[in-house]
Amino acid sequence: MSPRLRRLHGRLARAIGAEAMDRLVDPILTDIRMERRLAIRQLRPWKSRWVVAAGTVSLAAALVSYGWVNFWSFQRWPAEDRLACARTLKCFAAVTPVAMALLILQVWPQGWHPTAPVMFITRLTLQTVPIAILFGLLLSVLYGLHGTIVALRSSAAVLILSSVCSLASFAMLAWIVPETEWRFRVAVTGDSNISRRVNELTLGELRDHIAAERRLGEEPTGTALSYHARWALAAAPAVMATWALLVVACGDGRRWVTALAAVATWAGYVAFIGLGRAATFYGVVPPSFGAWSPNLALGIAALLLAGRITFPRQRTANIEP
Amino acid sequence: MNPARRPRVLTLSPKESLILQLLVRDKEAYGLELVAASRGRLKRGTVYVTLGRMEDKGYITSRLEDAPPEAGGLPRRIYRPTPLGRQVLDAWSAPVRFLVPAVSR
Repeated sequence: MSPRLRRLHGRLARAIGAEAMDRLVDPILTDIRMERRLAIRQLRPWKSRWVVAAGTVSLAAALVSYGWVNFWSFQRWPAEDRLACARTLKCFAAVTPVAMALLILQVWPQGWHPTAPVMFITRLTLQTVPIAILFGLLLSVLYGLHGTIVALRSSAAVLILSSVCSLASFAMLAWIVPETEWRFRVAVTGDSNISRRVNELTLGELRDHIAAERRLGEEPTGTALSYHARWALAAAPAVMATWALLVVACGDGRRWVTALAAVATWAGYVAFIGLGRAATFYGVVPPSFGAWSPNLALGIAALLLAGRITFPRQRTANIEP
Repeated sequence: MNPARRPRVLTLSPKESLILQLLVRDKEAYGLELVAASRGRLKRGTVYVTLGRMEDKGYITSRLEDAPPEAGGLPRRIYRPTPLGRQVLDAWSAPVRFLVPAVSR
């Protein structure tokens, strides 16, 4: 076995476990090597290259197929992974509504409007969903996976959950929240012909508004920031979940370190939102950069943290039942 | 095989049926031989996943052959049908033979 292949073999073994290596990877590698040797013996260099390329594709397809099948057979997951994922989901289901309630209570005294109580509560509840989801994801991943060796399947489950959260946030921010905001104002004023404000425009309308402002020669800083911030906040759950996974994977298992990481992450994220807004309004950075700066900061921090992960922390039978 | 993995209802997908037929005919074979013998009906990317699943179900068993020198030190895994696999294949083939007489010829 060549040194390069041996390295690849070792990495795969650590990632997917000995049984999968025995049943899946080794037979395919053997096939590729035998076919390649045969082609070389027959003096067919292009065929030997083709065998390697096709074999690599087959190996990738087999790994994806194996991972997919194993991911969905929950009863075959190791108990540790099952418990960790269940703990993460329970924590997410508990923390998100509490965070929503806290955010609503914070705004309630200033915004309460007795003429449209139902619309007021609906509007506030929907407004809090994207932020509460973000906070819930951070805490639930840090708490749920704390002290475990983060397996490939647990990471995949968390990333799927975060992608669903991102999609839900996007739907909220792009259409549902602006529409509710406008309906609330209509209910309060009793006038259905009032024009929409920036926060009441859907994503498409906001884009048209920015184009219209540019045509008039105005600089649409606020509108553009609102537009980009919606995209950035919708993408935030995926970025936050990735970051939280890396924090758990690199953590030393001490509870206070994880708690400190949670507080520092949230404080840092909120601070970057403020910094990004301020820098945009002072003209230091464009609106897109200002809106995306919290995600960018978290992404860069995640990349730096990813470099610190040492592979032996992975359990040998990671995808193994 | 881990008995906990054995399904309560014995099922046989078309691919599993084909693999069992080939293994019953040839007594034993390795993955690439099965792919070649299937004439394009089995793909190299999925055959080992299917073989692993069939091993879990108890339809086939496998052993490691001594590493052929041309394989660069990696041993080949040889598969053969188990009595359960043969029974399941018979049970699934019988209705087909009854419904489509041409198949049994």
